[in-house]
Amino acid sequence: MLNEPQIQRYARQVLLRDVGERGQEALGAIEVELALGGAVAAAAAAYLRAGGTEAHAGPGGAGPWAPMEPLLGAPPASRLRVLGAPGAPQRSGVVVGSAAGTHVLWSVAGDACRACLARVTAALAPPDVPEPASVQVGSVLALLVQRRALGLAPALEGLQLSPAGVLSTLGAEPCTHRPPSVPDAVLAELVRHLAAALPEEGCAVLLGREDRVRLVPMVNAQTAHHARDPDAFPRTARRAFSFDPRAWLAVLREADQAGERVLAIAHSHPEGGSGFSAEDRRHAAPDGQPLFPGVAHLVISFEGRRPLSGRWAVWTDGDFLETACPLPHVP
Amino acid sequence: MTPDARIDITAEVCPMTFVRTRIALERLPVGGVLEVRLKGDEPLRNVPGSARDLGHTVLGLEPLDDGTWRLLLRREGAGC
Repeated sequence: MLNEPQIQRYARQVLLRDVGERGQEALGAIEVELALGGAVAAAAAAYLRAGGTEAHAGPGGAGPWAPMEPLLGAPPASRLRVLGAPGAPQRSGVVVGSAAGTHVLWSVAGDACRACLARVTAALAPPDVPEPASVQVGSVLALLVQRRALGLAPALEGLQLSPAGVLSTLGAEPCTHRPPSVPDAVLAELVRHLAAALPEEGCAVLLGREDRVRLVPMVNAQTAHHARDPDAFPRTARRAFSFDPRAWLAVLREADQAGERVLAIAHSHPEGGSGFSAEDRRHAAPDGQPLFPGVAHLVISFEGRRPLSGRWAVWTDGDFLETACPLPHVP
Repeated sequence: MTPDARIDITAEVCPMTFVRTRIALERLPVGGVLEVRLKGDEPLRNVPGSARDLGHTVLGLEPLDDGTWRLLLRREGAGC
């Protein structure tokens, strides 16, 4: 709880819709290490400290300021690190850089995907902020830190400031280095669809747009392929899956029209097995490169009619990385 | 209706009128009722509307004999 002098001092922030007393406490619960010299750091520190957030030049190096009295009576619980490109904070923080004459800032959550961070900051040069832009960059930096503290920022949040002082937001591409997050209701629908195909392998596609994910049930065309050309398709649908090329094309066209992305290709292993098999790998990356870049694979193993386990396989650093996909209870 | 908390902002001026109200609401559990005593045009115009903007419910507003007003607010979950 804020005490009386703090209420008086931060009254105008407490008024803001996204702040309140709880938000003001959140601003006091972090400290910012400005591992970035010069006028930008000085300006950011001034704004942050005025807003109730301790900012300093690093452990022991308080800069020109005396340490702040902790807002909550205890030292701040978490620390954000601000540094210049090409650096990257190991946990939560902000990267400041320059690109084609503009100033670019990326705010990073502690659990943000590091590969995505590397991608968005790859082309950044070290910050080069002439006067008087440093005050503007410093204030934008403070704003990004405050949004992170208040829980208003996505995992990666970028802002760009043109030499003329025009501020624009930078979008991060959807992360494809981690399995997509799929609501339990959609997973349950998938499990039911795959169970209906037993004892054959079932298959499906997951499409997504922003936070919405939907299932497109697919027919396993493997048996038909096998009947037509047993040499090219030695396995039937009991041991393999494949889409009918026309059906697959229709799904891609439909997704394209709806502005959706293919998040994942899912299939089942009717007789257990331990997730993404060597055969699955060969099919998904025939020449050592993924056939569908940015598309995850999901394998659900069954024992009898019961779904045993779900495994994600996501192409990361030249290989498929497997992680568990917890399955919802499906009656 | 018996409120869960009471504040008196008759001696406050803008913006402290709503700062006090907002903090008092935030300190209540969801569903809690706050009684606010207020006086004058400014808080009468602003405090109920600002509380509503944050998602809280205005349960009642009535004049009292001494020229002040009694505002009853219910703290809702969405606003804070």
